[in-house]
Amino acid sequence: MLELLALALEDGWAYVRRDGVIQFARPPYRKDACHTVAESAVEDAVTKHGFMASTETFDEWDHLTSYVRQRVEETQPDVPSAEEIGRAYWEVAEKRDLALALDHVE
Amino acid sequence: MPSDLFALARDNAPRLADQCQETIDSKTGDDRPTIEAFAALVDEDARVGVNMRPSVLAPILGGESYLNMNELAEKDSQSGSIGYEQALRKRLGQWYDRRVTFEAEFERGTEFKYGAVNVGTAGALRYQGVCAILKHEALTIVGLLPSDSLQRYVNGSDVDTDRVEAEVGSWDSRCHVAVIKLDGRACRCSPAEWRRLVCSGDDFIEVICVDSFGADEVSHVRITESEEARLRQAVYNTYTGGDPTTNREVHALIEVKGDLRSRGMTLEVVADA
Repeated sequence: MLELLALALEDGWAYVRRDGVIQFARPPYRKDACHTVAESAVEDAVTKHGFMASTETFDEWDHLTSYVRQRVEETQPDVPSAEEIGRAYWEVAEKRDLALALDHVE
Repeated sequence: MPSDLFALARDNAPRLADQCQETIDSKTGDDRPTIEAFAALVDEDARVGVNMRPSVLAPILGGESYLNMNELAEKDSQSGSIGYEQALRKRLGQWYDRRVTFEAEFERGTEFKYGAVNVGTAGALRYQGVCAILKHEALTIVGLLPSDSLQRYVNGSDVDTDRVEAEVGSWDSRCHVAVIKLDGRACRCSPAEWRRLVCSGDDFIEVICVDSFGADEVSHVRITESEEARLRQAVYNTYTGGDPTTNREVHALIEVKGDLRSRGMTLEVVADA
């Protein structure tokens, strides 16, 4: 069973208890990108950093992430398209960002 | 009767100074100049850092004030569908009692905002995100506690106020609090590791303040190399459509970078721990 312990509605960052272990999950929610944290980290996130406490439970990882995505979508419905975001990035990018992007392309 | 955390901190200054001096005086050989150098680093370079997500920082740099949990619950309740108390319980869930218990022990407890003493890192890394470093003059009154207040002082519904009174320091006591807490570890590790010793991972010196702060109070913003790389990869992914939820975070990052640029600042990338 998966228990969603806390969720940030602005961006979908989440803390999940899976098989007794608490994991920190962020979009796009790849299981191998989650890392284990202590329960005090969840308490810190909820009591200081604006995460919303949750007691929702799920049988499957995909069900949990669908729920989180839906909550985020409801809370933050107005977000530019991926294309607009990709374009906007270069308007604020620094020289370093450009150099790293060129390295990435190569 | 709630006590004044900041008055306690002020009154405790001579005691912390004595305790710090005793610690220094107990050192022999190379340890004495080492711990004195550590104290000087904290005294000179310490600032208040507040870790937050890019999506929290973006509206702050855009002109809003940083809100603590009580203020967020107040905002939730303004929609009219839910009262303040209910909104706070909903936000804090199983951690409601501990946070409320701690804050009820102190005057202005519901105004408390929490940060950490920072001497050059991206803050408490267990939380990731970015770290907003506040200007030295931004906060008028500050209480310092050697580590996370809930973990250190709250046990069930009890707050160990005697221990708070013995340990709380004012901003002027920052190097005393750091030396008392970290002297053994500071002497055992190299000076290059001191900045991370003061604040990284799960361990930090907690800062409690009540001042309101926003963009004008932020001196700079730090991010770790790995966190920056993760966000940069998310930017690249937007060219193939990206992930709709990740795109929200990228959008927040763009807002942060744009607002920093308009203020003549950049996102400062620092090495991971």
